This record gives sequence, C-alpha cells and structure tokens, in this order.
Amino acid sequence: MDSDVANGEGRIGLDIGTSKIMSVRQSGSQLKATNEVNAFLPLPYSKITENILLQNKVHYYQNNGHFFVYGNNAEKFAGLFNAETRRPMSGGLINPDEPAALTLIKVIIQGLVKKPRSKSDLVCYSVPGAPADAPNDLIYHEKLLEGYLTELGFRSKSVNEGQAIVFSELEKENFTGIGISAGGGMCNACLSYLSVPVISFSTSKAGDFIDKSVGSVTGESATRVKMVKEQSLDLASSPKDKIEEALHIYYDEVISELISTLNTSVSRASSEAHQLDRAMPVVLAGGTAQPNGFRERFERALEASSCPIPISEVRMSPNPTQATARGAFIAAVYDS
Amino acid sequence: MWGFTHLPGASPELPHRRHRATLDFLSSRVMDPPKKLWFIKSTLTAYEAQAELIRRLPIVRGIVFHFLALESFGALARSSNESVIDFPKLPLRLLYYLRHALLAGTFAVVGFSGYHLYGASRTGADWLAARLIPTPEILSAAGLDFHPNRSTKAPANVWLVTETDTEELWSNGLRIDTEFTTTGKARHYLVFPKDGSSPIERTGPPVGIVYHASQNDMAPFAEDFSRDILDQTRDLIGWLKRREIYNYMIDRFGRVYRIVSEESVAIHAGESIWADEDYFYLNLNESFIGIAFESQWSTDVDLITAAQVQAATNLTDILRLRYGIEDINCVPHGLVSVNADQKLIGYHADWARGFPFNALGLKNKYETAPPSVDAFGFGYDDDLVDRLGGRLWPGVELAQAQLAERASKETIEPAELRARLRAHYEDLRDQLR
Repeated sequence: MDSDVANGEGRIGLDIGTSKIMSVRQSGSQLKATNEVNAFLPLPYSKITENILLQNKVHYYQNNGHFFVYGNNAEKFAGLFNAETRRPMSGGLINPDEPAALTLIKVIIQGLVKKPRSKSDLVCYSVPGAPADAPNDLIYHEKLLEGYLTELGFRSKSVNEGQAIVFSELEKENFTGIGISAGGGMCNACLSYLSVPVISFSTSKAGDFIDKSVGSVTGESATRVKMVKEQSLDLASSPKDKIEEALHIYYDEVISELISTLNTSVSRASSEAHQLDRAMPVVLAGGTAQPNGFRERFERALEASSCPIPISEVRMSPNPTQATARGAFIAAVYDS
Repeated sequence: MWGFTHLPGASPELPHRRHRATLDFLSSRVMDPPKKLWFIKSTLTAYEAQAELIRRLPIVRGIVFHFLALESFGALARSSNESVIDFPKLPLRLLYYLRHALLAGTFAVVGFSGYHLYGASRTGADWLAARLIPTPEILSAAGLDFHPNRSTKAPANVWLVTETDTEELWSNGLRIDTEFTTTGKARHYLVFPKDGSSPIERTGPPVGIVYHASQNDMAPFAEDFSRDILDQTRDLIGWLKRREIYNYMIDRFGRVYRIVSEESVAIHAGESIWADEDYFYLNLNESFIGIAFESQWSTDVDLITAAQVQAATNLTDILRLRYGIEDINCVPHGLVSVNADQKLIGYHADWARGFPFNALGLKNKYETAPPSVDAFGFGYDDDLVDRLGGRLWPGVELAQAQLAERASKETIEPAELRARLRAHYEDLRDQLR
C-alpha cells in the first residue's frame, strides 16, 4: 500500500442517503465528518428574497425564475418562509419525479467533497441495495453519481451501504457479520464473510415510511412527526401520546419487514457450500436506528423470528449516523 | 451451523473452510481497518486468480493459499509501522523473505510423500475426468417407474423387526440409522376446516409428508468418487442435525437417516400451503414430516438413484401405515412452498417437476390443483416459469381454470375473487401468529 494513501490522504467516504449526505475524510490523525441535509427549498424569484439570502450568506442555485436553497440551509429557511423542503432523492435513489434533483444533488456533493488535490484522489460513495421491483434503477443512480464525481476530477467507486456498515463496525470480527443501515428512504443490509458480501438486500420501509404513516394516522405533518422522532422518542418506554403510540407501531413494522426480508434472503442463500464456523454479530446503524430502545426491539424480534443463522449479538454502532460514511472511507483507503 | 451459497457475481470467491480459518487468524493480527481489509481482499483476489485446477487440488490449494496469504501479510508488514501488525516482526520477516524457498520446499516434501501426492493427483484427475467424461450411473427421477400398477393405499402390514441404539430394521427391509437423531420442539399446530369453522388445535402425529431435495454439493455418482460422496453425506448430516432440518434424509446409496425425531418439529417447509379433503394446512413444519433426498434438484439434471427411490418407497410405506397418512398428503416441496408476502407459489421449487410418484406408490400430485392457487388466490411470476424450464405443472392451470369458473359463477372478475381469497389466507395466517 502506498504510504500516503494508507494514511487516508486523498480519500473520501461519502454516504449518499435520502435525507442526508455525509462525507468523511482524514484530517490530521482524526477523521472529519461533514454533512448536508439532502433537501432543497424552491423560492420564487423576488428582490426581497434575494436580499434575505445574500444577507444571510446562503448559497443558492438560481434557475427558471426560482432560487433553490439547498443543504442545511434549506431546512432553516423552510421554517422562515413557512414552506416544505423537497428532496432530490426518494427511496434511496435519485428521484425521477423531481426535475431539479440532478442539479441539486450535484451541488450538494460538490460542496462536501470540494476539489481533488490530485488525479488519484478517490471518493467511495454508498449505494443502496437494488430495489426488488426495479433493479435497473440502481444502475442509473450509480452511473449518474460516478459521472458527477468524474466531472469533479475524482476517481470513484461505489460500496453497498450495508457493506459499508460491516467495514466500519465489524473490523474486530474481520468484517464478518451483518451490517444494517436504517436510513430515511430505505433500510439496507449486508451479510458479509471475511469482507466478501454473501447477501445484500434493501427494504423500502424506513424513516420516511414511519414519518408519512404516523402523519397520516395522527393528522400531524411529517415534519412534526420527524421532530418528535428525532428529539424525544424512547422506544424502551411506553408511548406518552398518540404520536408516540403510532411511532412505536410503525417502528415495529419497519423492524418486522427488515427481519422478515433478512430471514428470507438467508434461507435463499442457505447451502452446504460454505459452512459458518461461528455465530454472526449484527450491527445496527443509520438515523432511523437512533432512538433509545431500537436495538432491544430489534433483538427481541430477531430472536422471536427463528433466524436461520446463529446470531452472537445485536449491537448498535457507537456513531450510527456516521457509520456508512466511515465504512465508505475505509473502502476508499484500502483500494490503493 | 448455517452455510451459504456465494452471492452470484460477488468477488472474490471464498476459499476452503480451513484456509478461511488461516485468513481469519492472520486478519486478527492486523490492527488497522483499511489495512486489514486490504490484506483480506488482496489474499482472496490473488487466490481467485489462480487456475481452477490449483484451487481444486486439496494439498496444492492449501500450499498456494498459505503462500499468497504470507505474501500479502509480508507486503503489509513492510509498508506499515510496528503498531499495525500484532505479530513478532522477526519471524514474520524471515518467513516473508524465505517464502519462495518455503514454497519450493513444501512442494518438494509433498512430492516425496507418495501417498499425499497420489491422493492429490488422483483427485485432480478425477476432477478433470468428471468434466471430460459424461457422469455415469445417474438416474433421471422423471424416468423412474418401478411399480406402475402399485396401489396408492398404505400397505397393511409392515412392522419393526428389531432395533438397537443406532438402527431400526423394518419388515420391508428398510434400515433406519438413528445414530444422529435429535429431538426438537413437540408438534403443535392448527388445521383449518374447509367448511370455514374454527381452526382445530392438534398436538398429535403428523398428517402428511413433504419430500425435499437437500441441494448440497454433489460429487459425480461414480466409483472413483465414493470417498467424496461419503464425506459430503457426513457433512450434510452434521449440518442438518445442528439446525434440526428434515425428519429424514436419504443418502445417495439409499441409506435412511432419522435426523429429527418424528414427534418433533423439523425445519423443512417454511411458508407453505397444502390441503386434503377436509382441511387446509399452513406452514407445514409442524404438521408434516420432512424427508429429503440427498440430491441437487434442477430442471436440467435429476440426481436421484434407484437406491434412494427404493428407500423412499419403504420409508413412505412405514410412515403412512404408522400415522394413517393419506395419499393426498404426500407431496413434494415445490408444490407447497409459497412466498406468503407476495402471494406467489413455488418459492422453493425442489421437486416441482420430476418427482417419482409412481415409484413411491403415490398419486401424481402434479395433476392436483394446488390449494395455494385454488383456495387462496396465489399467483406465480416469470422467475418460477424460468426455474421450471418454461412450463409449470398441470395442476396450476387446472386451479386457475377452477378459479375463473368460480368467478364467472359469482359474476365477478377473477382478480376480485383472488383478492378475497388472499384476504382469507391472511386471516388464517394471522391465527398462526
């Protein structure tokens, strides 16, 4: 391995999630993580609006008679202008129904990765598992991102989101185990043996599904539900109100879907060909896995499901929101 | 322990179990995540780049794999500082610098140890021969028709002649090896009356038999491969016992092993549906006995031997007599397995074609309308049609015709009827939870 590269110089891990994009790179002896909300706020052109944006030193993109405020500022200004943000991605992939998606995701990524210092700089970016109903959509998504990064002057490669979790969290187990990333648009999982992906899959019930479903049954806005979910939800305690009650129910649904798909995928791959010689750990990560009590609920449901493979433990990533980007960074550093 | 097939297209390929243990051990000595990943990937990639013949020969592949692992480990040691590798530096350096000499020395030792070299070369030659010469003595299950006129009723008189701690002998000549038998959870299941009345809870004996294919690796069924065939069977039995899969397994020489006792639930049918005249049965692990042929079923090749068919016939006779199992409830896995969430039949397709019903004295269930389609409105996808070589069994067509006729009588669209039947299935499924 080249010594500079071995130190992580010129390598970036990028977690391109439906709700957030996060980059991780080497900064001295530490890893530095930066994130942007993967959303934008279209505002009709007016001189007053432009002045407000300029006064606040907000980066925006102007097109077709609109200002597009993107990233973390989009959420900030959504409150100010009493408007809802929109997302360039949906269900883990670039949203084909959003005309501004392609441009905005590009500017958000550009803001995070900056400019390459040399031609050998490499960005490893996460991609979800192929959706069962439209596997070719992943090819489009992956190739677009590859094209952007090449345009910016980087070499690039993709890593499955579940496998990125394995890389970042299962180093002690020699990259053997199950990594699960429960994000906004999707849950992604990968069973890896000595770093080789054996099974990978994704489910579409994730954070957004919870927000939307809870909003629908309680009459609250998805934004308000999201706020409760992120700030006060405790899945280990009894629900305090109807929003929490609904959150508990839909969290169980997400967990149930995840475990059922895991067991199905494992059963399909089951064979004598490569016998496991030890039980496998499961690591949970991602923003949706963050609430207190998620791990315990998942563990209980997994135990009750008669999973075909022996599980040694279910543990939570110490840094669930950064795990995918860190895994992508490790994949970028090793590839030299 | 659970085992897995390699993800199609995944690279690099995993090596043999013992070599993985070496890789695991060495990886544990690398303290830096990206470097550990690099070490594992570079070793596996270098191994995969070797000729297939090398990766097949038992001793040679071991030597080559260890050499490649040492190369990667040494390269890592040279480019990293002390803290990255938790291994004494001096012996590692020596091993690394002397690696070519070690490789040559090892091959020389192997060359002089006639037994090993002979074994290795013979296995290699066998492997080559298996690819160059059509494999003999493999029978097509579809073509087996031992007792075309045999009654489909259970025989009246078969009894246990004698038993020891490890074997039972039955009067029809069947010997059952009980050395590996394990017990699991007692049978406890619901049956759903077809007249719509409340489900009945049962704890008694099984009501049917599901036939499976074990789908493990298969050495060619030829004399030169006897040792490999026996090894594969032994590995399979150990694995099945640990995971409590199947009640019986019939190896390729027709030997019958009881894996999970008949009174206990074995894992074998998962989400599945079947029915007889009176009842619907859902998720058949609890209510049906699982019998696996050690075979790798596919639409292209039917790997099943005459000895296996004879043993299955005798075993079926014993079980039907002992538990009063009706012919209708003796059915292959592919006909009962479903994807319950997507409402699709044929989730597992083993024996969805080519099952030797006649030879086993059973009616041909391929002609029977599967209750999953007929009663619960399940469908199928192109994937299943592809897996079955472009054609489903006739019972599916019959079930669809019955469904269409029923919809016509009720003057509704078939899709509406199917939706109603599926909802009914979900109701029954909920009662199992």
